[in-house]
Amino acid sequence: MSEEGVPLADLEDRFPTKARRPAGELAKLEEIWCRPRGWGWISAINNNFVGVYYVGAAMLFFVLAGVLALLMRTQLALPLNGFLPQETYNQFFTVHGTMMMFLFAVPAVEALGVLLLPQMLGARDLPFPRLSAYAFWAYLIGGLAFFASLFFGLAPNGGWFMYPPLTSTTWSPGVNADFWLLGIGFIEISAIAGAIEIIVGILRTRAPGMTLDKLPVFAWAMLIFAVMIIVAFPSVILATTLMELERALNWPFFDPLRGGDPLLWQHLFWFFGHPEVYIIFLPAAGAMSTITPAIARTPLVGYRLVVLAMLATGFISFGVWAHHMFTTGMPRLSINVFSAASMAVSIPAGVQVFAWIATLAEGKPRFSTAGLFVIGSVAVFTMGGLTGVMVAMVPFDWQAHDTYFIVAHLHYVLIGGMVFPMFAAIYYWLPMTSARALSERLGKWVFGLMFAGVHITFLPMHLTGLMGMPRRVYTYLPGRDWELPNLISTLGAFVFGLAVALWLFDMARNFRPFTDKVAGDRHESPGLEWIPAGLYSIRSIPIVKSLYPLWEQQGLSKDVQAGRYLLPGSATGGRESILTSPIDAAPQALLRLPSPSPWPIWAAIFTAGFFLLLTIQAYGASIVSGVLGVYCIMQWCWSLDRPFAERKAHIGGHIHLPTYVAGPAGHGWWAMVILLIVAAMVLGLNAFSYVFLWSRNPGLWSPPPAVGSLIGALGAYGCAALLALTGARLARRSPAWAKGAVALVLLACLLAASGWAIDLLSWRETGLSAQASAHGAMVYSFLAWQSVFVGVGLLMGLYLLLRLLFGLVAPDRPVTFELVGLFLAYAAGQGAFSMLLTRLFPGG
Amino acid sequence: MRPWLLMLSGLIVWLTHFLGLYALTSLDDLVDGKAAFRLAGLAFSLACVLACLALLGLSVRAACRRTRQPGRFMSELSALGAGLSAVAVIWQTLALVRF
Repeated sequence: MSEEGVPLADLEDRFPTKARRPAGELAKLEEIWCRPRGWGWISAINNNFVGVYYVGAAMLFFVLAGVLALLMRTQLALPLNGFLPQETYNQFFTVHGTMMMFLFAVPAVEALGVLLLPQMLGARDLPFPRLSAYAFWAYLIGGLAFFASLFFGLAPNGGWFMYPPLTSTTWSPGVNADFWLLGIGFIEISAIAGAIEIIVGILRTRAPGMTLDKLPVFAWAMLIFAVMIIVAFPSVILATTLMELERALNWPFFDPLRGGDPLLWQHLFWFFGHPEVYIIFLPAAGAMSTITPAIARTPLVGYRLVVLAMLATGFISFGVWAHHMFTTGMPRLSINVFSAASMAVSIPAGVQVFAWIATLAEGKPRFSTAGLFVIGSVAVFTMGGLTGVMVAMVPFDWQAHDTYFIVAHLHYVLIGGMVFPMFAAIYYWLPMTSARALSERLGKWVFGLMFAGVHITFLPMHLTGLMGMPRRVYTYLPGRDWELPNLISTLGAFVFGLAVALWLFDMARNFRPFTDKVAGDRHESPGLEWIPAGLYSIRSIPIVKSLYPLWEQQGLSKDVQAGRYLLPGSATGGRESILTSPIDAAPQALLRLPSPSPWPIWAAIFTAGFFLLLTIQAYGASIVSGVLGVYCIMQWCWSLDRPFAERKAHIGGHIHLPTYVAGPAGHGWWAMVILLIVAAMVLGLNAFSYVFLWSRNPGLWSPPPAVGSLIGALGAYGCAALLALTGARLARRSPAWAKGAVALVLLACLLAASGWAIDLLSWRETGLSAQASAHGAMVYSFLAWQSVFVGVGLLMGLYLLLRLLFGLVAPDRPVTFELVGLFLAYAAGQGAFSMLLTRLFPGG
Repeated sequence: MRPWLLMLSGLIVWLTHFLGLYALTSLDDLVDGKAAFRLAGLAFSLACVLACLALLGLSVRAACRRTRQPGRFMSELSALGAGLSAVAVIWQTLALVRF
């Protein structure tokens, strides 16, 4: 997009303003961003509330999954122990891994972003607070239901990676695996919603002057993290959908007898699963790169190199997925390529570790609890990284694969790379949101016990693994020399557990969020997030001239608090922030933020109901819940896209910004484009699956339908795209054109549906069945995916029609039209692509 | 979009190279180890290294010319990324070489 906006030089001349702020301005701001009352605590949407809920929920899941770990370690303390039955143990290790990865690690760092980013970027809130609330409630409800499945013996038991054929209906006939597949698929929707919020927030709501070279490292890390989620998570969404289709409808994607291949699951799962490690690590590394300069009292050494290292990690992490599959009989050349990439990925991680060490060496470190966790993290993560390079070597991996060596390696990486930085972040940033800081004395005990606990637990596991103990066994025979290292590991796990218990005690004693006064900065930190703020986040939006504004911009904090910068009050009487350009951070428009609403929460409840009821095969109730979910989402959107009478608003310093923008200048456009990238990733990975399964068994693939239907359907899709985009353009012209525009968009919806129907019917005429072969299953998977888009497109058409009937369609509010047009054009393109691929490859 | 693409151009070349090598090695497996795919991989790698070096040169020149931020910062990142990618592509290509 264009980098237009108010030039920075203009702003620097005008701010900070000198005049006194009008009486009552601050009181009005406080009234607009007031504390919720009663049920309002549930429907609160601003980040100071949702962020705290979110971090709290993530830590709750950490503790619950940790308790499962202690129970498992108790079982393994002695050979032939009978503390846990085999089936319970299987469920525990599956739920432990799944919760730690999906319900703690990713949500915890996402939550940290939701909580910290607005103030760190100098914004009042992230651009879609209702989406944040939806993401949080969907995650909490889905996560609790997932954990509760343990109490009914319905928890998944096939490992956190759910490999087929173990998880096929033959070997896992109950609904246990379905809980994992539908539960995780649903929770990933929440993660993607959060990622969209974070990307748009970082690119479009930065304080003026916060150009890319002045972007805090944590924000860089969160940006890369969110983009990685957008690229990686569609893979697990596709994998879980295919597996559920196989389990529920007998479509043989992973059944080799009918042309499927279990290795397809491994490719799709690890295309998500390995980047997931870096998805978890990068925000934690961003937090480390933010905390380290504060505790060392000196700027981060090698800011540019650290940013580059994070970017490189983001790229390279997508080239290492198959290193989890070295023992599956992949081609030797492919193994070589993945082995080389797996070794290379340690370089950018190493750059960051050296930057932290150099910063600590350059400055005068304070050994506060946060500082200790930073140093501990460097040590533990480096050890995990070194064993990572070892298992990147194919001959070593063949020996260590599926042994306790791998368990030790992954725990060193994840605890050093994410858990320690998370605790550092909690101890460092908690005074920002709590009336009291956590106890430094207890904190040092927490660190000491945790550091000791990690090593006592996991260091012996390297040996246990090298002595041949396989993973995921619920017991072992005596006399193999595994007794002592297992007993030591169990003792270490309880030491770690004691550290977490002490931390919980400290939290109960000192954590007091949502109060008027907070404990405040303990480290003389340089970031904007430490400017004292209220529920409105930041009194006025500053002009940033440095990477370390509170260290290098004298008087900034006082001026911001006194309202001497941009948007010192409310320009329109509602919640607002400023939309800035993605690179130069030049102010472009006033961002109107929505007020609290129960609809996102209801939408989350009914979406969760849809998935959970589907899991227990209550199909009727599930459909009702899904319909109610759609109704709530429509209600949620109904109040949006309503421009103000005043087209421009004064934001201080005689600067006026537009109150309504459309197209790439608006934030809704960005969110839609990112959502469509997610859809395109699913499509691309499905195309990969199609080609992969063909390559496994080309003899089972049958010829495509006659070419006539291809031309008809392509024509329908082409016209649908054209009409959708034309309708969106016409809507801007005049009120008279608006009705015509709605008619065009409705016609586009019907044409897209016709294209899909022609494609479906022509395949049915060939006699190809989804159950008969992997070819049929793949073709119908494309059709099923397209049907979702056709269905949503029709709903959008209906929504536009309703807006027309209620007088909400006008040329001065084109955003809804633009977004529907974009969606329909993409859906038509997707339908055409799927059709061309399935008809032309491998051809007749 | 253009400034972002330029900033990430080196890393994009690296990713393209990786995916290309993956595709070629998979094809090599499908058609039973024909030497042609290995040679195609080496030629593709050479092209990618040259692309990285060209991007490195362009980025360094742009970084020297630009005085204003964030343009200079983006050029510097682009140069670092192109340099790193050149090394990574060479490293990755070693997987194709028979010693």
